[in-house]
Amino acid sequence: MIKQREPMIVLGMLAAMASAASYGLLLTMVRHVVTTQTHPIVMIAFSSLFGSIMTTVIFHRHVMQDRKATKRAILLAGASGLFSLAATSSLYIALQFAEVVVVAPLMGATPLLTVFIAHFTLRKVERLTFPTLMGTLLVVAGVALITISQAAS
Amino acid sequence: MGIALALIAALCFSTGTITVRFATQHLRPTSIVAVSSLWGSAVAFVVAFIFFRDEIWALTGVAFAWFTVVAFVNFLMARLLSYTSIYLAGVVRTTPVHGSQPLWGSMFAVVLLGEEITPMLIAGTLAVTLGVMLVLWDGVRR
Repeated sequence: MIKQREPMIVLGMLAAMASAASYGLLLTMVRHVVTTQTHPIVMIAFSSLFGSIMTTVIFHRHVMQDRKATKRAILLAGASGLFSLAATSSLYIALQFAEVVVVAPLMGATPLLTVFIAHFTLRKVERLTFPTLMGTLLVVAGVALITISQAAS
Repeated sequence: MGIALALIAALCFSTGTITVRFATQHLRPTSIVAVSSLWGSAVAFVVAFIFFRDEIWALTGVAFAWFTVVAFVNFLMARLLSYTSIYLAGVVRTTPVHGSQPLWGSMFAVVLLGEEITPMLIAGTLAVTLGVMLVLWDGVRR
């Protein structure tokens, strides 16, 4: 397991920020694709397949080395993909039954839920501090304001 | 029904993130992206073939071009960076930063789609920025 030294943590935080920005860009693109091209689930099926192929081709050395990993590890990786699919599908269906102003703030609370679950399930490897909890609450509140503002306009 | 499904979605997103954290103890982020997207794709194809077969046959070349771009941005950028951040800094430190996605989404919407800037959007942006800065400061300080 990787040792969480400071430079790695800084790099990890920067990667998290770049990831959030990429998801922001993705959201704008997905909105365009599902309104002009096809149903979300068809887009998810094809883009996931293309994504898997691209990743395997570009990082084939990593994938080949990791294929010797335990069954449990492969199951965990696969399960994360299924959770992601279930989450996205539930979200799309939820939006058919309730308005964005109801659904979005609930979804915005996901970081808070994740931090709480991590606090209990990853107690031995990760620690939740007061500033991080406060920061998470501020992010959740800010996201709720942004989504309500988007829904109102 | 909508609220229940939104809560299920939030729970699935959270559980998925925790599952990735456990997986990073055995696999590289690149391998996790390859496996997770393949499993997700397999299930999505089954559902798509059952319920949206006509839509699949009606797909155009433009749609496939978009799927390729979406796949690149989603899996090689967003998801790979997300899993790498969890691998390097852990879930507790990176989750609030990941949570700032809607801020970036609205910024791109303002710049690319010309959406309106409202006082509520400014207040939300300030709160998210302050929250992320607090988490970043705490993550590096520890």
